[in-house]
Amino acid sequence: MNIVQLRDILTRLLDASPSLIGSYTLPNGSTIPAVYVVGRQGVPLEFKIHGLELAIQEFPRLNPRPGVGTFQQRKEWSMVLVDYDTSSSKLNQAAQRISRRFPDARFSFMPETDNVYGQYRVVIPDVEINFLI
Amino acid sequence: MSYIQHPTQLIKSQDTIIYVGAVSGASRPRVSSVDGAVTVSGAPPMKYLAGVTTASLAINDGETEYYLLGNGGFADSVVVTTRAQASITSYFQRDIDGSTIQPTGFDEAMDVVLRSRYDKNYEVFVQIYKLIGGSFTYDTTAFAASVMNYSEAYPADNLVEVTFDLMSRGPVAVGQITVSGTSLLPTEPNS
Repeated sequence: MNIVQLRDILTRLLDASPSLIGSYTLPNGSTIPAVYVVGRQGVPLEFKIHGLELAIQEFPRLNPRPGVGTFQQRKEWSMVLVDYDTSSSKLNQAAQRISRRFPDARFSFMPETDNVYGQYRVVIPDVEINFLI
Repeated sequence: MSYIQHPTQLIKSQDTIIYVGAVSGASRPRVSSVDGAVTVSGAPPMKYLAGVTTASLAINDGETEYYLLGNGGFADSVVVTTRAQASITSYFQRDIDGSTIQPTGFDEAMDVVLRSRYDKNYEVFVQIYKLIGGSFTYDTTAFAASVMNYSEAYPADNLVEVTFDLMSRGPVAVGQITVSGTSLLPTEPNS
């Protein structure tokens, strides 16, 4: 699984009916699902966020395990689910939905702050077998 | 005088690779060891076993003891049988060709092993290589085998593991073999 596949899976998962994901309102007024891949920069300041946001780290943490003639690459994708809507229960619904698709995911709840109602740090394990060079 | 064992002096499991192929027809591939060198002829198309997390190989000899009068009461023996047994733990794998996961079927090497689930007369040709060095000299073990003691485990952390034994049938060859060309370590999926 690569970052594009993961983003697509999570976007479809959280946008399925009933949709849980929030939206970004772009400077031109259009809206897109609030799923952002955090790479060299975070979510642009000019994006206006509504509802639940998912920010996925572009690069997973690697934890290789040697095999016989190959090796097992154990990746951990890290992301943060943040609910900016103080009147919804979508954060827990989203965590529950992610659990049903990724039953080995780990969730760490982080308390609310002045800006957000609640947030989860989510870690999704992902394993692949790689060749040696 | 003492020596320090340098890491490059040690042969590592990561430099070990296991190949299997489906024995077809009425005759097995011919293997022999002469002066420590292995020769193999008639081997079927070989596929590497990827996803192997643990493997072990044992060469077990059966002997018959005998006693000679006037030999001081000491036992002597002759080895009458030799059998190789490789015990392998691997992940259960679907087939991937190039970068495309096939909707049906298993990895070609896994498929060779899995046929034994329903065909108990099915034989697998096995070659286990440990890289010694150069380009490319391996310590190798080669034998035809049947798959026995097959079992699957379904741990809740999601990866299905398969364990099985490859029990030799017929000659077992052990020794060195030199492969010209490229390393036997896989660089792309079985096709």
